[in-house]
Amino acid sequence: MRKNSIKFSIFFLLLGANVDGQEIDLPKTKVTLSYFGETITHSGLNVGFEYYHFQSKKHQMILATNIGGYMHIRNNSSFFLREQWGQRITFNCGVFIDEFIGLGYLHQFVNGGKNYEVLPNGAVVKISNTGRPMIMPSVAIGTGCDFSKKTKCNVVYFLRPELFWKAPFNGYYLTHLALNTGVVFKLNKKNAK
Amino acid sequence: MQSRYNYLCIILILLLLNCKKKEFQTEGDFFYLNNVGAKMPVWVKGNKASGKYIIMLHGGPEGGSSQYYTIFPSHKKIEEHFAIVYWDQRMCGMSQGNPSMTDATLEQFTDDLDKLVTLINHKYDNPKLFLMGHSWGGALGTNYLLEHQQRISGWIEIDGGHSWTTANEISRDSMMVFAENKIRTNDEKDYWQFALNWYNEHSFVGINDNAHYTFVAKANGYDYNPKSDSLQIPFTDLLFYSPISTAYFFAPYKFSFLNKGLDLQNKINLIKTPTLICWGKHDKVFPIAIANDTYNKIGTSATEKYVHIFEFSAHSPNYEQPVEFANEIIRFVDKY
Repeated sequence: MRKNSIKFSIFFLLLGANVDGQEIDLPKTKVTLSYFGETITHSGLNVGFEYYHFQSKKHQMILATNIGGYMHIRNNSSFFLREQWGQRITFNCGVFIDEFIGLGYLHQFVNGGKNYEVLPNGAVVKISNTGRPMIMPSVAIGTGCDFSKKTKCNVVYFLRPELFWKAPFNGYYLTHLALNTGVVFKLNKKNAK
Repeated sequence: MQSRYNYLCIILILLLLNCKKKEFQTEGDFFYLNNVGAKMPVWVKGNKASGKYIIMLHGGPEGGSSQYYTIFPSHKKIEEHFAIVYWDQRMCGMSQGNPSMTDATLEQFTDDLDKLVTLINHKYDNPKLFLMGHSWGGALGTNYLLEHQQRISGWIEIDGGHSWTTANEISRDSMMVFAENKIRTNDEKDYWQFALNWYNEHSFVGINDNAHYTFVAKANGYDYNPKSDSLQIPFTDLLFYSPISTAYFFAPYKFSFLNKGLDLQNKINLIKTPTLICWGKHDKVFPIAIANDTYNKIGTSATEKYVHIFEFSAHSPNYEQPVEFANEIIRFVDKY
């Protein structure tokens, strides 16, 4: 899967190079607010911003910074801070496809109950749930609609399944499937289209 | 227009956040046992007032989880009478943390179980404790009893793997006979010829030889009747509304400590604990010969050991014959 994601990245890169290379005067940053669901239903939130270091009418190269987290009841609560690099290709109708690769820091707490430890002398003690630090690589491919192409509404809606990994986990890593869906919009109305 | 879209999105987010909670997320007592790098979930449910607690030792070990046993109708029936302690072993199921593979040994699993026994005694005021081990859990339970049997009131072994190396020898022989019969009757001849060739090339079947287990599964050695609807698996609830995580599906490792083999049969004469041996007649993983041999060799007195063979089960009578299985367990635990 990781191999395929790299192939997609290269594909989009090559595609992007052929699309309307003229940089134009568009907002350089936008805010992201989204639902982040690990295995879809283990709900969480993701907020951040996208910075467009290159953009044309059809093509954006994006640096995204996100903080977020999710809760899997009786399993874990995780919080992350990550950087993503991606590209978005938007068609005239407003529909777009995008892809991101990312790397972040994730802190995972066990969820749903108290933590106990049994000491060598047989005494049982409660221990605090301080969580564990992990790295969080990710790949995502999404689609959505940029409503500003056809309306006055400067909002982008996206639906982006992703794979992310937590490492180290049980001496190795753990693969997760997640759904990230929400909106990208501009905070400052003055510069809105 | 813009605010309308924003509202729409916020409503969508709220709807998704408002997921209904299921029994996996609310029932019983849930806590974690921390030991040597592992954070192991423990779920206690059922009739705690009975004062009798059955610790479930799941199969596997890799890919195993006690969470799956919670959906068995047999377990739901048993829970009406006694409490069951569902525990995910280190590096299995929903266990977390970052334990080292060098600590994945039979000795460490046994130490984890001993810590769990201490924790349950502490939390529930020293109830009567029973061990119920299925498959690999049979090996773990047997090894635990060899060291700490004074802490346990009764032992239930279900198609257990305490004599895994010997079981594989017997299983290999029976699978070769099975393959020869299939070839003779021209039933999926190519497949079984391939299997037979594999067995001819492998005079010894290791515990981690996946090909063997694939052939066993094909021969209905795990499930006597794979089309049976005795177990309705709530896949959606398990995947989306239970503690089960993708860890179960994507565990990227094998427990190498099993490569060197595992056989405790020559030591079980030291076990004196009241014992119930439950075995599926058609089990091709741990053939029924192991059950009979265990009954004869275990050190428990003749009046306190029992063997029950399930006529229409293979490796898991606990879900293939739930009513009969539950009745046997309830009768045994009631007695002690």
